[in-house]
Amino acid sequence: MAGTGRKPYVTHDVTPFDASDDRLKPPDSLGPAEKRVFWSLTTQVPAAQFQPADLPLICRWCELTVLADRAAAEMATGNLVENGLPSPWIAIHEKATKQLIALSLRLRLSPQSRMDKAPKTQAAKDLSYYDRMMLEGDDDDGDPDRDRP
Amino acid sequence: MTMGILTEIDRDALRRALEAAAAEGAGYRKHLDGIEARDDWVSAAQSASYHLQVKNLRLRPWQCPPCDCRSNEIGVGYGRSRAEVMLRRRMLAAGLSLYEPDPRAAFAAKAVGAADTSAA
Repeated sequence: MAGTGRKPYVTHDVTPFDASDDRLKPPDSLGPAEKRVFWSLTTQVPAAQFQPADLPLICRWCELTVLADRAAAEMATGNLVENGLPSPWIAIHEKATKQLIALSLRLRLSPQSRMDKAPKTQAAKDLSYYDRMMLEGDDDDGDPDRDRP
Repeated sequence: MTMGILTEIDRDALRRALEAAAAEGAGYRKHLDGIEARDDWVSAAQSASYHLQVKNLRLRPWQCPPCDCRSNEIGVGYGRSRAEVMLRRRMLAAGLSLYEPDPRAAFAAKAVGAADTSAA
Protein backbone atom coordinates (compact mmCIF):
# COMPACT_ATOMS: atom_id res chain seq x y z
CA MET A 1 0.00 0.00 0.00
CA ALA A 2 3.02 2.28 -0.18
CA GLY A 3 2.28 5.58 -1.89
CA THR A 4 -1.41 5.61 -1.15
CA GLY A 5 -3.32 7.99 1.07
CA ARG A 6 -2.98 11.62 1.82
CA LYS A 7 0.46 13.19 1.74
CA PRO A 8 0.97 15.18 4.91
CA TYR A 9 2.12 18.76 4.60
CA VAL A 10 3.46 18.68 8.15
CA THR A 11 6.69 16.82 8.62
CA HIS A 12 8.60 16.23 11.79
CA ASP A 13 12.33 16.32 12.13
CA VAL A 14 12.79 12.84 13.57
CA THR A 15 16.30 11.48 13.38
CA PRO A 16 16.43 7.79 12.45
CA PHE A 17 18.15 5.55 15.00
CA ASP A 18 21.33 5.02 13.02
CA ALA A 19 21.53 8.37 11.27
CA SER A 20 23.64 11.32 12.21
CA ASP A 21 21.90 14.52 13.19
CA ASP A 22 25.00 16.57 12.49
CA ARG A 23 24.31 19.88 10.87
CA LEU A 24 26.56 21.70 8.46
CA LYS A 25 29.05 24.11 9.95
CA PRO A 26 29.94 27.45 8.37
CA PRO A 27 33.36 27.69 6.71
CA ASP A 28 35.90 30.05 8.25
CA SER A 29 35.79 32.22 5.16
CA LEU A 30 32.35 33.56 6.10
CA GLY A 31 32.21 36.81 8.04
CA PRO A 32 30.47 37.10 11.42
CA ALA A 33 27.20 38.46 9.96
CA GLU A 34 27.13 35.75 7.32
CA LYS A 35 27.79 33.11 9.97
CA ARG A 36 24.82 34.34 11.98
CA VAL A 37 22.63 33.92 8.89
CA PHE A 38 24.16 30.49 8.33
CA TRP A 39 23.32 29.26 11.82
CA SER A 40 19.89 30.82 11.64
CA LEU A 41 19.18 28.98 8.41
CA THR A 42 20.61 25.58 9.24
CA THR A 43 18.97 25.39 12.65
CA GLN A 44 15.50 26.19 11.31
CA VAL A 45 15.26 23.45 8.72
CA PRO A 46 15.33 19.67 9.13
CA ALA A 47 18.88 18.37 9.62
CA ALA A 48 18.62 16.21 6.53
CA GLN A 49 17.69 19.08 4.23
CA PHE A 50 21.27 20.09 3.44
CA GLN A 51 24.25 17.95 2.44
CA PRO A 52 27.92 19.03 2.49
CA ALA A 53 27.72 19.46 -1.29
CA ASP A 54 25.18 22.25 -0.72
CA LEU A 55 27.66 24.34 1.26
CA PRO A 56 28.66 26.69 -1.59
CA LEU A 57 25.03 27.54 -2.32
CA ILE A 58 24.27 28.07 1.34
CA CYS A 59 27.29 30.39 1.66
CA ARG A 60 26.03 32.44 -1.29
CA TRP A 61 22.63 32.61 0.37
CA CYS A 62 24.21 33.96 3.56
CA GLU A 63 26.30 36.56 1.72
CA LEU A 64 23.35 37.75 -0.33
CA THR A 65 21.12 37.96 2.73
CA VAL A 66 23.66 40.16 4.50
CA LEU A 67 24.08 42.26 1.37
CA ALA A 68 20.34 42.71 0.93
CA ASP A 69 19.97 43.64 4.60
CA ARG A 70 22.71 46.24 4.32
CA ALA A 71 21.21 47.70 1.15
CA ALA A 72 17.83 47.89 2.83
CA ALA A 73 19.37 49.70 5.79
CA GLU A 74 21.21 52.13 3.52
CA MET A 75 18.02 52.87 1.62
CA ALA A 76 16.11 53.39 4.84
CA THR A 77 18.63 55.86 6.26
CA GLY A 78 19.93 57.58 3.11
CA ASN A 79 18.34 59.41 0.22
CA LEU A 80 16.76 57.29 -2.47
CA VAL A 81 17.65 59.93 -5.07
CA GLU A 82 20.88 61.94 -4.98
CA ASN A 83 21.78 64.64 -7.54
CA GLY A 84 18.90 63.43 -9.69
CA LEU A 85 20.18 59.86 -9.76
CA PRO A 86 18.72 56.87 -7.90
CA SER A 87 20.79 55.57 -5.03
CA PRO A 88 23.10 52.70 -6.10
CA TRP A 89 21.80 50.75 -3.11
CA ILE A 90 18.49 50.32 -4.93
CA ALA A 91 20.15 48.31 -7.71
CA ILE A 92 22.25 46.37 -5.20
CA HIS A 93 19.15 45.50 -3.20
CA GLU A 94 17.27 44.46 -6.31
CA LYS A 95 20.03 42.20 -7.59
CA ALA A 96 20.61 40.58 -4.22
CA THR A 97 16.90 39.94 -3.78
CA LYS A 98 16.60 38.39 -7.24
CA GLN A 99 19.47 36.04 -6.55
CA LEU A 100 18.04 35.16 -3.15
CA ILE A 101 14.77 34.21 -4.81
CA ALA A 102 16.60 31.96 -7.25
CA LEU A 103 18.58 30.34 -4.44
CA SER A 104 15.54 29.89 -2.24
CA LEU A 105 14.03 27.56 -4.83
CA ARG A 106 17.22 25.54 -5.13
CA LEU A 107 17.59 25.27 -1.38
CA ARG A 108 13.86 24.58 -0.88
CA LEU A 109 13.39 27.54 1.42
CA SER A 110 10.20 29.07 0.08
CA PRO A 111 6.61 27.92 0.70
CA GLN A 112 6.27 27.01 -2.97
CA SER A 113 9.33 24.79 -3.04
CA ARG A 114 8.44 23.09 0.24
CA MET A 115 5.25 21.65 -1.22
CA ASP A 116 5.34 18.38 -3.09
CA LYS A 117 2.84 19.71 -5.58
CA ALA A 118 0.65 22.73 -5.96
CA PRO A 119 -2.39 22.53 -3.68
CA LYS A 120 -5.74 22.00 -5.34
CA THR A 121 -7.82 25.08 -5.77
CA GLN A 122 -10.82 24.63 -3.56
CA ALA A 123 -13.88 26.78 -3.24
CA ALA A 124 -14.14 28.74 -0.02
CA LYS A 125 -16.10 26.84 2.57
CA ASP A 126 -19.65 28.04 3.07
CA LEU A 127 -20.06 29.76 6.38
CA SER A 128 -23.22 29.36 8.34
CA TYR A 129 -25.27 32.45 9.15
CA TYR A 130 -24.08 32.24 12.76
CA ASP A 131 -20.44 31.88 11.74
CA ARG A 132 -20.77 35.02 9.61
CA MET A 133 -22.36 36.89 12.49
CA MET A 134 -19.47 36.05 14.77
CA LEU A 135 -16.80 36.81 12.17
CA GLU A 136 -18.20 40.15 11.12
CA GLY A 137 -19.16 41.22 14.60
CA ASP A 138 -22.62 42.26 15.60
CA ASP A 139 -24.22 45.14 17.41
CA ASP A 140 -26.62 42.94 19.29
CA ASP A 141 -29.16 42.95 16.51
CA GLY A 142 -27.90 39.67 15.08
CA ASP A 143 -27.78 40.89 11.51
CA PRO A 144 -24.39 40.51 9.82
CA ASP A 145 -25.70 42.21 6.71
CA ARG A 146 -26.34 45.40 8.66
CA ASP A 147 -23.05 45.19 10.57
CA ARG A 148 -20.89 45.11 7.51
CA PRO A 149 -18.87 48.33 7.21
CA MET B 1 -40.80 21.36 19.30
CA THR B 2 -44.05 23.11 20.22
CA MET B 3 -43.33 26.52 21.70
CA GLY B 4 -46.49 27.70 23.39
CA ILE B 5 -49.42 29.29 21.63
CA LEU B 6 -49.03 29.82 17.91
CA THR B 7 -49.89 33.26 16.59
CA GLU B 8 -51.35 33.89 13.17
CA ILE B 9 -47.85 34.97 12.01
CA ASP B 10 -46.51 31.62 13.21
CA ARG B 11 -49.24 29.70 11.43
CA ASP B 12 -48.59 31.59 8.21
CA ALA B 13 -44.85 30.84 8.41
CA LEU B 14 -45.57 27.19 9.21
CA ARG B 15 -47.93 26.87 6.25
CA ARG B 16 -45.29 28.29 3.91
CA ALA B 17 -42.60 26.06 5.41
CA LEU B 18 -44.72 22.95 4.92
CA GLU B 19 -45.51 23.87 1.33
CA ALA B 20 -41.88 24.64 0.47
CA ALA B 21 -40.53 21.50 2.15
CA ALA B 22 -43.14 19.27 0.54
CA ALA B 23 -42.20 20.69 -2.84
CA GLU B 24 -38.63 19.44 -2.40
CA GLY B 25 -39.57 15.95 -3.47
CA ALA B 26 -41.85 13.01 -3.08
CA GLY B 27 -39.64 11.37 -0.49
CA TYR B 28 -39.62 14.34 1.84
CA ARG B 29 -43.35 14.93 1.30
CA LYS B 30 -43.99 11.33 2.36
CA HIS B 31 -41.86 11.89 5.46
CA LEU B 32 -43.90 14.98 6.39
CA ASP B 33 -47.16 13.15 5.69
CA GLY B 34 -46.01 10.46 8.09
CA ILE B 35 -45.41 13.00 10.85
CA GLU B 36 -48.82 14.57 10.23
CA ALA B 37 -50.54 11.17 10.34
CA ARG B 38 -48.74 10.16 13.51
CA ASP B 39 -48.95 13.50 15.34
CA ASP B 40 -50.61 16.53 13.77
CA TRP B 41 -50.28 19.22 11.12
CA VAL B 42 -48.34 21.56 13.39
CA SER B 43 -45.67 18.96 14.12
CA ALA B 44 -45.18 18.29 10.43
CA ALA B 45 -44.94 22.01 9.69
CA GLN B 46 -42.49 22.55 12.56
CA SER B 47 -40.31 19.76 11.21
CA ALA B 48 -40.42 21.38 7.77
CA SER B 49 -39.49 24.75 9.24
CA TYR B 50 -36.55 23.21 11.13
CA HIS B 51 -35.32 21.52 7.97
CA LEU B 52 -35.59 24.66 5.85
CA GLN B 53 -33.95 26.95 8.39
CA VAL B 54 -30.97 24.60 8.74
CA LYS B 55 -30.70 24.48 4.97
CA ASN B 56 -31.20 28.18 4.24
CA LEU B 57 -28.95 29.42 7.04
CA ARG B 58 -26.39 26.72 6.20
CA LEU B 59 -26.23 25.67 9.82
CA ARG B 60 -23.80 23.10 11.14
CA PRO B 61 -25.20 20.00 12.84
CA TRP B 62 -24.51 21.48 16.26
CA GLN B 63 -26.11 24.86 15.51
CA CYS B 64 -29.68 25.49 16.54
CA PRO B 65 -32.16 27.01 14.06
CA PRO B 66 -34.32 29.85 15.37
CA CYS B 67 -37.44 27.66 15.48
CA ASP B 68 -35.78 25.46 18.08
CA CYS B 69 -34.02 28.25 19.99
CA ARG B 70 -35.94 28.48 23.23
CA SER B 71 -33.86 30.90 25.24
CA ASN B 72 -33.74 34.65 25.06
CA GLU B 73 -30.63 34.67 27.23
CA ILE B 74 -27.10 33.94 26.06
CA GLY B 75 -25.60 31.04 27.93
CA VAL B 76 -24.18 27.58 27.63
CA GLY B 77 -25.75 24.78 25.62
CA TYR B 78 -27.76 24.13 22.50
CA GLY B 79 -29.60 27.20 21.26
CA ARG B 80 -27.98 29.55 23.76
CA SER B 81 -24.89 30.75 21.91
CA ARG B 82 -24.58 34.47 21.25
CA ALA B 83 -25.34 34.18 17.55
CA GLU B 84 -28.32 31.88 18.06
CA VAL B 85 -29.91 34.11 20.67
CA MET B 86 -29.14 37.28 18.71
CA LEU B 87 -30.86 35.97 15.61
CA ARG B 88 -33.86 34.90 17.66
CA ARG B 89 -34.08 38.33 19.30
CA ARG B 90 -33.79 40.09 15.98
CA MET B 91 -36.49 37.97 14.36
CA LEU B 92 -38.88 38.68 17.19
CA ALA B 93 -38.02 42.40 17.14
CA ALA B 94 -38.72 42.50 13.39
CA GLY B 95 -42.12 40.91 13.93
CA LEU B 96 -41.10 37.70 12.19
CA SER B 97 -42.16 34.26 13.25
CA LEU B 98 -39.44 32.03 14.63
CA TYR B 99 -40.76 29.44 12.17
CA GLU B 100 -39.90 31.64 9.17
CA PRO B 101 -38.44 29.12 6.70
CA ASP B 102 -35.85 31.56 5.31
CA PRO B 103 -35.02 34.24 7.91
CA ARG B 104 -32.45 35.90 5.68
CA ALA B 105 -34.97 36.39 2.86
CA ALA B 106 -37.60 37.52 5.36
CA PHE B 107 -35.26 40.21 6.71
CA ALA B 108 -34.53 41.36 3.17
CA ALA B 109 -38.25 41.51 2.35
CA LYS B 110 -38.87 43.52 5.52
CA ALA B 111 -36.10 45.95 4.56
CA VAL B 112 -37.55 46.41 1.08
CA GLY B 113 -41.01 46.93 2.54
CA ALA B 114 -39.70 49.50 4.98
CA ALA B 115 -37.89 51.35 2.18
CA ASP B 116 -41.07 51.39 0.07
CA THR B 117 -43.07 52.69 2.99
CA SER B 118 -40.59 55.47 3.77
CA ALA B 119 -40.39 56.46 0.09
CA ALA B 120 -44.16 56.71 -0.22
